Amino acid sequence: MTSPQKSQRWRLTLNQFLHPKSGNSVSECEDAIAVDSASNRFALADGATEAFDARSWAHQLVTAWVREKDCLAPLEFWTFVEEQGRILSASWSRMKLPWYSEEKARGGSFAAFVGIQIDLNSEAASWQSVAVGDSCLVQVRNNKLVRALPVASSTQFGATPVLAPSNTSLQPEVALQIGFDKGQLEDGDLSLLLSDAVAAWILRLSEDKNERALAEFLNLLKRDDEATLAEFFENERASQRLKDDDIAVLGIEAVRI
Amino acid sequence: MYAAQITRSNPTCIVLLLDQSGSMSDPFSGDTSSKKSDFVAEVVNHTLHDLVIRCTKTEEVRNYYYVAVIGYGRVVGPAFRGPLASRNLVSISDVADYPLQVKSSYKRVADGAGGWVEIPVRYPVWINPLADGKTPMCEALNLTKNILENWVAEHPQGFPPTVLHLTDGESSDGDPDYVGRQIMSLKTADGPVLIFNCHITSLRREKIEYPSDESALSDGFARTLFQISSHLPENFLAAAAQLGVKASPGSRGFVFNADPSSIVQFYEIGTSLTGMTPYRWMDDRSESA
Repeated sequence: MTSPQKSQRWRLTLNQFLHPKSGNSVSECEDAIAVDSASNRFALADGATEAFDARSWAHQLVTAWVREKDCLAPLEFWTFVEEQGRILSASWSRMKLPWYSEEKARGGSFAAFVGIQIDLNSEAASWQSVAVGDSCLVQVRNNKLVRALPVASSTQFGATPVLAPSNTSLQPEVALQIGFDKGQLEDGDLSLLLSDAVAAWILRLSEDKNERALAEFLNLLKRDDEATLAEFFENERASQRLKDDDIAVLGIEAVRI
Repeated sequence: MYAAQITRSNPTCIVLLLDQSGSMSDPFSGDTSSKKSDFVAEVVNHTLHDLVIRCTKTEEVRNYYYVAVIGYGRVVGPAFRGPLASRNLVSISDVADYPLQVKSSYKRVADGAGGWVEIPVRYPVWINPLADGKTPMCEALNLTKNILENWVAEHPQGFPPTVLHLTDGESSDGDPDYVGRQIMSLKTADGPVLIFNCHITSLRREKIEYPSDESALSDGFARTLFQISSHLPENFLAAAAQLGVKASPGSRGFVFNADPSSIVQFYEIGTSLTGMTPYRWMDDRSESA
């Protein structure tokens, strides 16, 4: 658990959790989370498993985005993706790669992304979010889901989501599919940034009105009990309620003080 | 069935079984410049290339697949040439690291600003075209069966092996029905071994793709191949749909009188395990400089 910057009226409490897909080590996890406590900017990205250097791309997007100012409007965000893609591509060109890596690198890398900026400098705390693909922002109030974006239903998760490409010239149409939203926070609201598998799982719990499982998950997350949370998700995978994929969760709870 | 996750600890096996008999030196109908054996070798090299790229994680190739390329003609055995020659079953990382040669070329791609730019690309080669001798299909299927018996014994929980068999003629060493059915009876906990057959021809005849019954097959050899062709599982049907190929539940993995485009699609669909997006290398190649 980490405690980012407080305002005079609000405090944010963070809990994060990363868990790789079965058979992989944590170092192979292609989901990434970044936090900038000074600016209250938080981001999560999910590198596409079949893409080249997806782990690096996911890490680069989140760490660079939380250091930015604004970068919330779609056009501004697309320019940011272009610039980061150039940096990543330049890092590859400095490497001596075998033929298959060169071939794969030509297609670039891909990642889903969601970022949120929270403003605590006013009486009413507010948030703004930018997202591309199926990494989600889910807002929880009194242990109930009240908002989910950019994917709002568990049935809308597919095998081929729109993703942020490192080579934007190959997929310019993605620029038109960047989502942006904003809203207000109430005392005790929890904003969850989630990669796709766990986002689909949470939305399904909500659709099935499975409040017990949702409450158990939120309780484990708040306790920062990684081992028990990992065991909890392993059980969900074993029962096939949760897709076997990398899991990334960042919980941001806003409390009025 | 056919839902097991393919991982390094639970890999799957793909057998590319190739007719390399003398008749493969004949041209396709209407194209005297291209021998069937040349075209098939090119498609197989691209298929291996695609499998390697799918398993590439930055600088590492993960062993999700083990691949056999078995040729039959004057001899029956591994068709790999170069460092992998004489090896029946090869990990995909060894396929990546030990091609016979890597050819360099240029490809024209969009520059993102309305123009075109040429970029260097590399095409590895693992097998050379070969067309010599008779068609000992039964012996080749027996070798395949032996490889797969060992595989399913060692990987009882894995995604079942897939056999992609391409031939241009009838067997010269007996009826392949019996050994074909033996292969189809092998299985893992995730389902029976998949065998798909593609018959190619030098004659201009109507092709039959992925039929669900024998009614359109007037030829006895065609019916034999149909009967030793597995039903296309759901993931493979999805891949066929993505390629615009007509196939439906009940369709067999069988093409008769295939033309060049059917051959390419046969390998694209046949390697689309777990519903992976087929790799459309023909589109890719069309821009080669």
